[in-house]
This record gives sequence, C-alpha cells and structure tokens, in this order.
Amino acid sequence: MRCGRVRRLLPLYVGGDLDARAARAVFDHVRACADCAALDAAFDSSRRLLGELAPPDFDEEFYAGIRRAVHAEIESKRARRHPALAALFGRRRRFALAALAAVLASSVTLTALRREPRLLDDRQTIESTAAPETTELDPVPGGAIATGPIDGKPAPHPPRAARPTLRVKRAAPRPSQPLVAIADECEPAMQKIEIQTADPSIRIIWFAPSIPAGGD
Amino acid sequence: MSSDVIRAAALHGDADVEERSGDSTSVYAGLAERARAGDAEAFDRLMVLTQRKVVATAWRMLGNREDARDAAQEAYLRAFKYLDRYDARQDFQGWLHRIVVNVCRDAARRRGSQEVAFETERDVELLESVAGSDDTEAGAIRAQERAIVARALATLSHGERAALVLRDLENRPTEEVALILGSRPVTVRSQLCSARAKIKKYCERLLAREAKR
Repeated sequence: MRCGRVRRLLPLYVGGDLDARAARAVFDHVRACADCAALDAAFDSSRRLLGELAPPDFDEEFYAGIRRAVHAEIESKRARRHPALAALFGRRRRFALAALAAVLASSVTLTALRREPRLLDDRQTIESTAAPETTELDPVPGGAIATGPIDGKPAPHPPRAARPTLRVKRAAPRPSQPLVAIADECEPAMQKIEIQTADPSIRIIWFAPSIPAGGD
Repeated sequence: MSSDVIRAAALHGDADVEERSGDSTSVYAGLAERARAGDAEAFDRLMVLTQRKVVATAWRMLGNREDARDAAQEAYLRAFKYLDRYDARQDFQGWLHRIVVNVCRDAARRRGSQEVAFETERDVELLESVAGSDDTEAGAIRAQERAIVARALATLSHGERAALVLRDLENRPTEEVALILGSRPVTVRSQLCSARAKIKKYCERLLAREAKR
C-alpha cells in the first residue's frame, strides 16, 4: 500500500473503523515507513487529548433539578388542558373521534347532494305538465304549411301575411299512432294531413287543398 | 444475572448493573411502556437511568453546563411527548440519544454560531493564575491541553462533532452512531475521517505554538 492511500486511511485506522484486511495493510505499511509512522503517532496523540475532554462532575442536585423541571413542565401542560376531556380522551381517541366526525360529515353532505337532482327532476316534471307548449301550424285557407316536398312537388309557400307561429308541444309520450292521418275536419276544399314524426312529441299538421277525384 | 436482580437495579437506578446484565433493552422498554400509560414514577426512573449519559453528550456537543442542562431538559420533554412513537424493539438509549443530538443541533442553530465555547478555557485561566508546585504545573498543562482539544472540537461542523462525540468519546459502534444520527455508516465514517484529521491538525498547530513560548 502506498503512502498516499495510507495517509487517507489513517484517520479511520486510528479509530478502528477499517475492515480487517485494510487495517492489516495499514499496520504493515506504518511499521515500514517512518513518515507514516510519525503521522500515526500524531493521530494517537490527538486522540489521547480528545479522551481527556471529560464533562465536569455534576452533583446529584444538578440532575435532580433537571428531573424536577421536566416533571413540572409535564404537569403544567396537563393542567392547561380540560381535565375531564384529558382524562376521557387520550390523544389517540381524540384523533379517532375527529376522523369519525369527518367521515360522518362527508357522508351526510354526499347524501344531501344526491337527493338534489331528484328535486330538480320534480321541478322539471311540474314545469312540463303545467304549461305545455304546442306546435301547431295555423291553417291557411288554400295554402299549406309543410316541412318538406309532398309527392315530389315542392311544398307550397305560405303567403307572407300568414306566418306560422311555432309552439312546441311537449306532452307526455303517446302510444304509437299512425304516421299520417288525414282528416276532413276543415273546410271541404281543404285537406288536413297530420304526420307523426319519429319524435312522439312532434307532429306535423298540414292543410292542403283537396284534389278533386280524377284530377291532378 | 437473574431477572430479579435486574429489576431491582432498575428500581434503584443502578444503571451499571443493567448494562452488564445485557438485558437493559427489556428494562427500558418496560419502563417506557409504563411511562406511556401515564406512570410518572416510571418516567422518572428512565431519567435517573439515562441522565449522566444524556448530560455528558449534551455537554460535549454544546460545551457548557447551562446549555447542557437546558438541552437535557428539552430532550426529556421531547422523549415524553413522543413516547408513543418509541418501538419497544429498538434500543431506548439510542432512541433517546437521537433526540439529544437533535436538541443540541437546534440549540446550536438558535445560538447562531458554529463555534462552541467550551468552559474548560476557564479552567486554564484559573490554574495559570496559581503559582507554585509541580502538581499544579502538571495540572495546568493538562488543563491547557484540554482547552486546546475543546477549541479544536468547537471548530467542527455539527455532523462531524456529533459523529466524533458518539464514536470516539462515547465508544459507540459506527452502526449505532449511524442510527442515532439518522444516516448511513459510510456517511459516519466520512465524517469521522474529516473530524479526526481536523482535530489532529489543530492540536499539532496549537501544541507547536505552545512549545515555542
């Protein structure tokens, strides 16, 4: 082992902090090298001096004073807390109770939040039944209001004066009905055609001039 | 050694008997358990059994009697507060000394200086003022050497000083020192290497200066 490495290991060697193999190698080198031996002696000397650094001899009263102060501080901390609570609830119990209270509070909050949508649903139901809006296309004599071509012919446009008012009927879904119903409830010259769309709440009512039999 | 003798030793504060018995872990663990349950006498007994070592460590870390006393009190208060965190399987004294080292570190930080003023320098001044016999002269030389070492120790960082105090002055194994300091054995060895080298260099310089006078 070289001097450089020995000098780096000497601080650990003097304290017995090297493994057996390294300690043996350092020992063999120190025996053979005067410089490293002097360094080893210097470390020994400083360790000897360090060993003489002993604390003063404190008397029993010194130690008793420390214990008294510690007990007094512990008692004063206990007295500051409510004695009944301190007796009843140890630190762990208090923590457990606080955790339980937090769980209960959160479950009550969650339950309340879940109930709210039902309340909203009820309001919606009330609104939908209270004021149903209807979609009716006002009949225009001689004219028709349609949503699309019929029989390949473009739908006739209503006169400007008679713009339809659109009101949406949102009644409860009805059982399935014929898609098209033709009624003769209006004037004999007019034909009322009702078309039920796929949406049960939307129905198209169309008034068209009657086509005489045999004519186009 | 019989368990009855060990228990009697614990009750009467004879720490040496417990150390020799090799069963000190169970004694301290039993007392700690009782103290945790609120037995003030058990906690007092724990303090009696450990006070000398606690104060010695604190004094070596902080350098004077008043600071050592305050640190020991704070360490015992923290130990009482955190008794529920003590695991009976671990060494109670090692656990307590970890608290002591941390308290000393906090005290040194509050003081705001890395340099620790060891009170042994006062011894040197007192002895130098007395003229006379060889005994006094030998005593003065020893006091002077102690002062030099104390000054050298005061220049170390907290980690180096703690490692050196626990390993070289209290003769604890490196692994135990690592546990107390909350670090690894390789880190402790590195701190010891650095600390011993600094102490040696400082002592050499001061002793050489004293020799020239």
